[in-house]
Amino acid sequence: MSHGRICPPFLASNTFGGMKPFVALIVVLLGGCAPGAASGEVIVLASTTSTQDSGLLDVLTAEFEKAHPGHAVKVVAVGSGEALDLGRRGDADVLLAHSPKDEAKFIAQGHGVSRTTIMKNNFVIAGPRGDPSSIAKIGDAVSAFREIAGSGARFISRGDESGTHRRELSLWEEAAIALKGDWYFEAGSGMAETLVIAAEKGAYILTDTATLRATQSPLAILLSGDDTLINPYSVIPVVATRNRGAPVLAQWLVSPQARSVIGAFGKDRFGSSHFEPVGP
Amino acid sequence: MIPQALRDAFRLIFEGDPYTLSVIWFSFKVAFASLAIAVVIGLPVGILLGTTRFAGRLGFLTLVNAAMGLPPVVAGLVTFMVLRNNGVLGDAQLLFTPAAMVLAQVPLAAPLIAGITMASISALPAAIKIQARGLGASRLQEAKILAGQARASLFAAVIAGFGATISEVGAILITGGNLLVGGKNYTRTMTTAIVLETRLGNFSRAMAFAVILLFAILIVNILFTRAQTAGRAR
Amino acid sequence: MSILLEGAGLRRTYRRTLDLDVPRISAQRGRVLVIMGPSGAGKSTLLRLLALVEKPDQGQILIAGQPAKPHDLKSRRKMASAMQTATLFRGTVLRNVEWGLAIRRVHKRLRLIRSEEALALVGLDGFESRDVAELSGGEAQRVNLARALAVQPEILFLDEPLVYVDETMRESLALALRKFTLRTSCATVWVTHDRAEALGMSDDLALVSDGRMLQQGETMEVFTKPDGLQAARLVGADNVIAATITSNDDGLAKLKAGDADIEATTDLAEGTTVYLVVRPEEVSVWGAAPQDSSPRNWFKGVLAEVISLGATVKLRVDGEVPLVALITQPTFRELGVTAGDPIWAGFKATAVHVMRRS
Repeated sequence: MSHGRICPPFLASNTFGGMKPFVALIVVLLGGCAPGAASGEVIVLASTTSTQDSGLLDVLTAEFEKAHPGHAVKVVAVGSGEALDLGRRGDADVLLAHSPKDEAKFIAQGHGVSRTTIMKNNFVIAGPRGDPSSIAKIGDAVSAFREIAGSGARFISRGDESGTHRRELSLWEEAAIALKGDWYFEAGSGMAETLVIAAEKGAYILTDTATLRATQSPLAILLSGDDTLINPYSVIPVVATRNRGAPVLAQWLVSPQARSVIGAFGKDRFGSSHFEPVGP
Repeated sequence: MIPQALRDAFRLIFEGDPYTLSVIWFSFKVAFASLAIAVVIGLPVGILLGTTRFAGRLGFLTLVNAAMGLPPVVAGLVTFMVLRNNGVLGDAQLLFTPAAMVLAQVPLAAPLIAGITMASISALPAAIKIQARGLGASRLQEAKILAGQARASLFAAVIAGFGATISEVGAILITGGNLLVGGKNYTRTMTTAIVLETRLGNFSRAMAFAVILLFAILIVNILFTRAQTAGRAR
Repeated sequence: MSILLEGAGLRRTYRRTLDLDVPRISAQRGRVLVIMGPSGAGKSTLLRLLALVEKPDQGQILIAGQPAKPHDLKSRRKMASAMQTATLFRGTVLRNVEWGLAIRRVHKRLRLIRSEEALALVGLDGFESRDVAELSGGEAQRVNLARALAVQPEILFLDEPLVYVDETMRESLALALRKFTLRTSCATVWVTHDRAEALGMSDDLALVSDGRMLQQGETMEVFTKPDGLQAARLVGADNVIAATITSNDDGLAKLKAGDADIEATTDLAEGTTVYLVVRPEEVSVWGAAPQDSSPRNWFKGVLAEVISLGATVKLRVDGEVPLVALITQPTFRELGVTAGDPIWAGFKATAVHVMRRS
């Protein structure tokens, strides 16, 4: 991942309050912090677990460091919500998120410099092969969600405030469904783990295709292609950063080189690319 | 941060936050259910190992001792493999239910209880066994009086078993899935809730649960210890 | 004569040595059998085998003629034992004393009555609600005893029951146990190393040493006619004289022990080499040569040692025939002799037990 060493973001924040020196000591002892490291060449990129899980970020950061030697990138993979929090506090220098509504708010509040969509992938609704609620025939995601709730079929959510989770919740909101009842499960875990539970429980789930394929899930893709399921990933340079390398990374991520890396990613292993580059 | 966590913990309990309360209650249900099954299995096995010489006793004892060191996640994994849809007991549809969690913890607590019981019983002077037999006791009555004489140590075995089940994380995470159903707690315990909240960055919530968990363990152990030390022996 | 308990061909091996070898032992209803021997003789082991608490390597136990397996519950329920170290269970005295009845599912009220009786028998009236942790050594042993008595078993086993009991209580307690045996018609098997206790309390006596049975029979028989040197030593027949029968005239034999002439009653033939066993109590002593011929055998000697035993005195006499005599204190005072004085010691022909010598 990154070649340099950098103190994890929370050291720069107030999270641990008066215990900061003590925690810092433990972190240093655990080798997580190189003495004398400061905002310099090492750039903190906060992104989501799905992009991390897919392996794309490793490839992107490697390419960036090749193109710009002297700069190193440290990736912190959390849910979109948490990523935005890090940006708000200045614990991250560049964000790569996929939660458009929250991103817009972020920019509006003045925490982000700009928002550039660089790639997208699609969510799909996956479920048991038998499709008990027959949602495959339904054209759009919102109606499908309504049908699932109406038929009382099991649905499992990631429940972890990730980008996927937020998208799922916005679909429920649009469908005007209250999430009470024994049919709605929340796992509080990442995509891969939640897919396992979905397969065991025979539940419907909102997922990205990359993780679905990577985990070789027995679930079938039942609904895809709906516009509401498009999942755009955007780069947001953080206002609060003092890192001189941050704009360099942000620039590179929106460049054609980055887009070709994205486009090529996954082709060799899975036949088609996971993420569709967006833009010029 | 710790004082803040303490404040949050008390607030959550005394304001009767339903999620928090249900997580606490569920943790105890799972821990005690596993403990009960483990005691029913482990106590008699321990007494048997401590009193009777039978063929293969040494081998069995070695197994029990080894099982005490069984990594909990391995127990969780094996339970998972057995209960999953393709597994031996797949038809029972028990995976990601509270039952699966209870089952996964039994192989962790039972050997512990059996091992400590065995050690306690065999540490009793042989004179007790001989005298009991000399008064006409049946096998069962002999076991009862031995257990009664080793009471304090058997309590220690149960306390150890409780310690194992209340603090378990890995096995019950794997087999329970940390789920809410219909917005209500289904397979979340205090330990798995701490994992979740930490992952999400809700550190104060995580610390609150940690504080509550520690208090709960302390209170239960106060009760256990009182029961253990009641009465005196010659 | 009703033999209730029998052990036949009992053998036990411990680490390659035969540590118990008892061809036959039996106990009868309404009688006290004492198994006596030095410490480590295997008495307790024998008792545990008879009580079906441990399994012998060979041999069997019979109850009223029927073989009983070691773990046969029905047979074990006919027995109750008070083992050597009083092992009391946590709780009150009552809980302990009634335990034997509780496991036999005896009704609570009856348990209480029997327990109270047993406690009264051992002199612990009113001790029912005491906690066992508070008892003294002697009290604990008596509770141990009461626990076995309360069961009123057909066969009662007692292993050194009076060891920690006060001297003052010992006699009365032993007597009480005898009475209990007679009253309930049980067979009592009593293990002890104490000779006085053995001789005083038993109807039948079994001598055990080194895991071997030396002799079993009615107490007086064994006491006066010990079978072998070891047995003689065990029963305290301190005078053992090697001799040869020179003539035997219709049961009255003349023997030669070194230069001394001795007369004794025996059926053994002329020429037989024998041991003559005379109990110290049977030896009379005089300050001067006895005038009347009432003891057939008497010898001059020197008083070598005076050992005071409280109410009695043991005198060691050196001389032609070395003898040990046991007399009362008053008699000793009357004699007025001290160590070094000349003294005469003798015994009746009928007081001699003649044993073949190989």
